[in-house]
Amino acid sequence: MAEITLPWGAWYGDSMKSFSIPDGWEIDAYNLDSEMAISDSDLAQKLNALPDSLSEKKPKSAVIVVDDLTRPVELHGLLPLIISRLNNAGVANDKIKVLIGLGSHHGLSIENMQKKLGKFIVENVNCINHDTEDVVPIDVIWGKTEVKLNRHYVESDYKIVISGLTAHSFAGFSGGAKMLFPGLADMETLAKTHKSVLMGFMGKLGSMENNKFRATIEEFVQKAGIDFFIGVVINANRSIRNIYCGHYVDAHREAAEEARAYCLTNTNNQLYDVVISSAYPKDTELLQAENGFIPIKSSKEKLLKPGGTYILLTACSEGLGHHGLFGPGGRLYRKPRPIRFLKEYNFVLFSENVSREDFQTVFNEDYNFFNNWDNLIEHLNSFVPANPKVAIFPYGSMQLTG
Amino acid sequence: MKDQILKFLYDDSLKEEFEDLDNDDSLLELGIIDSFKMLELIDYIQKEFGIDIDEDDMLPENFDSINAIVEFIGSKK
Repeated sequence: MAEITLPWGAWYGDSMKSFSIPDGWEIDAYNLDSEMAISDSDLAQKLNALPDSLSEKKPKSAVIVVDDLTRPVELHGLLPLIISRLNNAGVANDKIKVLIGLGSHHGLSIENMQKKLGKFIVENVNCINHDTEDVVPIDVIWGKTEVKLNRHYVESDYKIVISGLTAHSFAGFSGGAKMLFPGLADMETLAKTHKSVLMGFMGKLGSMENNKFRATIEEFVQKAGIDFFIGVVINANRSIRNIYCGHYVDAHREAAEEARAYCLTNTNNQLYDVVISSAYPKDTELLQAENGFIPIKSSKEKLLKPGGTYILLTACSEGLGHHGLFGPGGRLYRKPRPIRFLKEYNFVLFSENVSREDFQTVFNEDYNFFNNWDNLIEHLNSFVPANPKVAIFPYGSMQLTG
Repeated sequence: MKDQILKFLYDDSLKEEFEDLDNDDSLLELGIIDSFKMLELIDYIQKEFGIDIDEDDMLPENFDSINAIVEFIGSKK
C-alpha cells in the first residue's frame, strides 16, 4: 500500500493525517503552499491607517467584529495590535467589545474564544457571542422584512470588522459586508438571506462580479456603517498571508483578488476517476463539510469522469455542529436529497468523529459514509478501475479550480 | 390559478409534502422549491401569465407560498 498525508483538525491540533491507498493509484496532488506569511513589521505597517481614522473620529467606545471557529483565521497576532491602537486613541479596554459574528452558528465557549482570539484578549476585553435576539432596527426595509443588527455593534462609536476571506458559495468570498449580514443580523434577516440563496436569487462561488447578494448587503452596510475593515488573506496552514485595510468594499475586493489568485488550483482540465478532497481548514463540523465540494463546484470543466467518485474527508472535531437554519430543527432544515452536481458520480464521506445518523441528517441516505478508512478503500475496490487517475485537494475548502 | 401553480410545482417524490400543503405554507421550507425549480417557475409564470419578472421582484416573499405567488402575479397584471 502507498500512503498519502492530509491536513487535519483545524483548531483541534492541526496535524497531518496519513491514509493508506492501493498501489497503482496514479496521483495528482494539488497543494497550496503556505510559505509566504506576512511579517510582524508589515502587519504593523498596514495598520497605520487605523490611528489616522481614529484621531479623526475621536471615539469613546469601539467594537471589533470577528468571525467564528468555522472560519480558519487565527487572530492572536492581529488583535493586540488593534487594541493597542485603540488604547493610544483614548479608548480604554473596558470600552472595547469583541463581537463574534456567528450568524446562526453556535456561540464560542471561553476555551474556543481563546483559540480564536488569544488568551490576552479574552482576559482583558469583553468578548461577546452574537445573539440574534439582541438586535435593533437600522432603518432598512428589505422587501417586507425590517432589517435588524446586533445592539452592541450599533451602539459602539467606532466599528472595526476583521474577516478572513475564503471562497463562499453565494457571497463570492466570505467576509466584508457579510460579517454584518448575516453575521450580526436578526433571525428574520438571516432566514431571508439564506432563503434567497436557496431559491437561486443570489451570488456565485468565488466571484464578486455581478454578485447580487454582495451588492444587497453592501447597500445595508452603507446604513449601518463600518469605520475600518481588515480583510485577511489566509494561508492554507491558517497563518496570515496578507491583510488589506480600509473601506469595507475596496479592501475586501483587494483581499478577494489576492485570495482568489492564491486559491486558484490549475488542474489543466484533467479528468479523474477519483477526487479526494479534505475539508480542512473548515473541518470543525459536519454541517460545514460541504465546503469540501469547492473543487468540483468551482470547476468550469468536468473534474470527474462519468461514474467517478468524490471522496470528502473531514475531521468533524466538533461532531455534527450547529446551524440555526440549516441544521436539524432549523427553519430551513429538510431531509437531505441527492446533490445535483454529484448526479453522475459516486459520493463517499469519511469522518471518524460523526455517526451514520449524523451523516444522514446532512447527506442523502443513498450516499456512502465511512468512519474506517480501510473499509472505505475496500468499498472503492469493488468499482473503481484498476490504476485509477486520482486528484487530491488537501485544502479542498479553499481550492478553486476555475 | 392556485391549482394551475400547484400542478406545475407537483413532484411525485414530494407526495407527502403536497398532501397537507396549505396555501400559506413556505414552499422553500418544505423543499418544494429550490434554485432549479425556481428558474423553471419564473419561466413558467412569465410565459403562462404574460408578465415580466425583473431583478427587483426576486424576493422570497413573492414566491415562498402558493398565496404569495398568486398575489405577486396579481400585482404585476
